[in-house]
Amino acid sequence: MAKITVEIPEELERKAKMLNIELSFLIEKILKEKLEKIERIKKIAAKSQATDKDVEELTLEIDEAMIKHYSKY
Amino acid sequence: MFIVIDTNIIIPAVLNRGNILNIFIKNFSEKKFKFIAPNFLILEIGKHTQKIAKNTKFSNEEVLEMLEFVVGQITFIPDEDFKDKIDEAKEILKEHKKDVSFLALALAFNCKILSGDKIFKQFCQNRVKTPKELLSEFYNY
Repeated sequence: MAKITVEIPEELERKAKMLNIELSFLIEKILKEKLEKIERIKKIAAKSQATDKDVEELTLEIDEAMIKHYSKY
Repeated sequence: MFIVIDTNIIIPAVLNRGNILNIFIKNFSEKKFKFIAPNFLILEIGKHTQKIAKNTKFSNEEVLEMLEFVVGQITFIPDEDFKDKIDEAKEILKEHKKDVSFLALALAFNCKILSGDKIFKQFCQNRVKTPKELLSEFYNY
């Protein structure tokens, strides 16, 4: 296992002690979840076949609806 | 720190064009900014999920996961909270109508706007940040 040092506010450390939470276990769990989520998102994103023209057209459609909606104020 | 997110940031992030998605990935892990956008924007994006699936060739589940990841990091603000700034925004932006709601929201929250629109940046030099500028803030501690 690799070892890392994490700085956290003293208040958080106090709270964790009060609640009897093992911080190293909690941090490992959160880190794992976050990294897995990012990995999954990058994997999906890499499959995208959208073009710059698709982005432009979709943005334009939404912008036109936004102009219409906010012109009423 | 609040920052208003423009349409031209959300769409390329979900469709994964350019490096815009990296902004959401960095903020997902670091929570440096509190992203906000006009509420009407989420209603409009919701109408286009099929088009997003068609363009990207993502499955419906993948579209939902991408949307949840990107849009889930944004708090959508009701019109009531910034509509009193619409006239001021209209006056500043003149014929550049498409960004009126984003500027009004930024005026109400007294915060910056993340946008890739060069004309918007010209109108509001000090208020609009480009994706490149924001990404550099993640790397400069």
